[in-house]
Amino acid sequence: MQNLSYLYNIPLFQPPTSSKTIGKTWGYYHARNHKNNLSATQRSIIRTLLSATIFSPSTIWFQIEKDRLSFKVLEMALVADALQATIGASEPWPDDVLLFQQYKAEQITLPDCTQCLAVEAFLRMCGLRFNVKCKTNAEEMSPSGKVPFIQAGPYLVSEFDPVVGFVGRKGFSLSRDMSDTDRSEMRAYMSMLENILGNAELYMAWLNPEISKEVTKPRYGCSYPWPLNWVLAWRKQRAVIARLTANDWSSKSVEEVTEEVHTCCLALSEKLDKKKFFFGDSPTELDALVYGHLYTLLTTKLPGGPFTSVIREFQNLAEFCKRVDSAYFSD
Amino acid sequence: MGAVHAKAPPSGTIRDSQPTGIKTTSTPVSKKEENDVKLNIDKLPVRVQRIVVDGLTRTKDDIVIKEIKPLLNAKTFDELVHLSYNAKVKMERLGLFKNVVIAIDVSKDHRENGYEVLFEVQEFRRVDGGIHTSITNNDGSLDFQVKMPNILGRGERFSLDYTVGTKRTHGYGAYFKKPLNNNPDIFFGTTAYQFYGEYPWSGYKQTDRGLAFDLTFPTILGSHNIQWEGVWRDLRALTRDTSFSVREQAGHSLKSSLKHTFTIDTRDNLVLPTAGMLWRTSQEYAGLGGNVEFAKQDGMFQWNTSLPLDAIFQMSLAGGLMRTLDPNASVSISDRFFLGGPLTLRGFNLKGCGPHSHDNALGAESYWLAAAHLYSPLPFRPGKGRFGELFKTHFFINAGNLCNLDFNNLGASFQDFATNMRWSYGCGVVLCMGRIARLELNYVVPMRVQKGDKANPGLQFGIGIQFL
Repeated sequence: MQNLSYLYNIPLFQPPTSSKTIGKTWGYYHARNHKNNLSATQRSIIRTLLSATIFSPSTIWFQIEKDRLSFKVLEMALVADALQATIGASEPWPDDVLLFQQYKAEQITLPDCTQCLAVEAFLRMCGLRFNVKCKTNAEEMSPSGKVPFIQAGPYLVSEFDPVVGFVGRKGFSLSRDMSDTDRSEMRAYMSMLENILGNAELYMAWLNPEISKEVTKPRYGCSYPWPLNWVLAWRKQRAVIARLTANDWSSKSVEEVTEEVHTCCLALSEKLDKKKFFFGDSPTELDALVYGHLYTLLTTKLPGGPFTSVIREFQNLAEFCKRVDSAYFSD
Repeated sequence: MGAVHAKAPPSGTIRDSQPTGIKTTSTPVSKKEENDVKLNIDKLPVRVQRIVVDGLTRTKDDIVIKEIKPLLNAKTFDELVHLSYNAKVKMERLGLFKNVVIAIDVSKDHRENGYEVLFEVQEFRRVDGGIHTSITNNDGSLDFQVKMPNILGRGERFSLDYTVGTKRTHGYGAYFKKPLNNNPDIFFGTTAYQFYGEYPWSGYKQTDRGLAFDLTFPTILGSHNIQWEGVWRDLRALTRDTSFSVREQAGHSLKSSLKHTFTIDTRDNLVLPTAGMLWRTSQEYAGLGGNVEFAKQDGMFQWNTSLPLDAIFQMSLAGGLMRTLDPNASVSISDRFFLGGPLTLRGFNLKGCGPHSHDNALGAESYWLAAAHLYSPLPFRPGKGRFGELFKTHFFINAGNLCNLDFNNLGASFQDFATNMRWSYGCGVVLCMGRIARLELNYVVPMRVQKGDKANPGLQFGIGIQFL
């Protein structure tokens, strides 16, 4: 933390000492409460942090108590990712870029699928050449332990935000022409997506007893022989439960989760309105992310999965998914 | 044992007549004019009337009775001493007792030729433990051990180990060993372990969690060991710079393999033998369940002979071959052969020979290695007969090769195998440490190096238990 604050010259307000002090992320806060009570200085610091794409929104957690703001950076590996990406920025986009992910038909789980689809959509929206490569061990190969990741020359970049950062340094960006206000608004929405839909997907896939037993765990373990198939699925489930417990999501009921998803979709639907994309006529990172999440949720058939019906309530979101699908995934 | 010369004690007290712990009381002899009598007890007829075993707490009666019963058939005193001694050695080797003292006495009711034998046994403590350091190849580790010898009373041994290594390796394991059929050379063992290791020469780290059962038994030729092992291996890239060829192999694998090892070892010392030979071959078949399928054959031969002037000539050969049995997968990096290092193919870095990708050794599916050493004592023999015996100077020449065989074109592959070999020579000092490990400081000249090899000419230091 000391080094980072020096590196980016950002004053640290009382860095939290334990991970228990994690509060709401700013993006989440912003989306839910427009009457935010942050001071102008605090807001500008947050904006600086978020617009410095060296951090992704989900890697910084904020806590607001009275007049104090504290934050901590999670997952230093991602920072290293971004730093490495900075070094590789001067080279052009190579021809042999590969996007690694798990097998879609048999193996991949719902939350991983949304991430893979979002990255793929983003790269397609940027018009970049790449090939998708399916590997059963993509998760273990990934430098951060999460799918998807891209291999561009000697560089490996995993997950959505670092990929966006890496591609940005190669001179491709979907949000370059946006105003600062729009960009920070987009980041807020992206953060909300990750925090509501991301957690809701994990919740449904791994915590819902029926889905986890009949769909998620058998799929997760499908490439391994007995008894690894259930040991690994069980370990993954425990890790997800630990993560959701830290976020206070594991104690929620299905109704509460559905309600959160509904709120999130409502916010997205209002933002999209009748526009072609969320910020006008051209797609942004947010469009890729929304497509990744919603398309997967709409097209995945899960036993008793209530999300599909929630999303179908919002006609414009379903149409948006179809539009992106036909525009970028028609081949 | 030939004639036992017994000297009648002046006062008739018991004293040790042999350092092996056998106490004999001289038989009552008629007082002669001389105090010293020479008595040939070889043929002295005996009838064992009673055998007492003192000190048994948890050792089961049946196993002890089985060992001492032959004593009842002893016909002569010589035979009795022999049998008693054998019983003592066997019971100690079975791990029943820490120490056994035998006392043979005439029987109390003074029948003719009546004897009784007393075994004073000392059992092991129920729980014993220790901390010691151990050395594997170029890595030291600290081992914490808790052991329970003779845990069930029939020579079974149970131990728990925790190991921390210098290269961030750590692991723990439980081991259970049971001699079968009261024979300390035939035993059944089972172990469960978890081990985390880092392999910087190949840029990966791996966590092994495994379970193994093995059976060891001797034959007239040598010792056999048959082992089944089921191990779950979690391989990950060690750093961000790990080669993609290694990273591609990351993930979980489950190996279930059957391995047979055959050993003949007639050497007089494990580290610096002066005579004898070692022959060890092993066959491993992986694919009884799990998702790792290969067949592997590995072997080594070492021959030592003493020359004049305390010199020793040693010749070693080793080789191995493996083949994947799964047409869709190649053998994983954690099962492959590697070559090079300060104790094997000297003059090269540890695992520094053969195919590399971005500085990461990839290993190969076959190798051969040969070495010849000429050992001699240190010049001017400092510390002769004492610590000086732990040191030897040696001159050596070693050669080897590591490559992947093309099974469709074996002729060309074997030709490659011979022509693309690496070899080096040099000299240095060997230190024998603790009778199992070996430390070498050598000056090496690599003579043939192939592209991609990491040669290490000049001074090279090595420490380990496996060497060639």
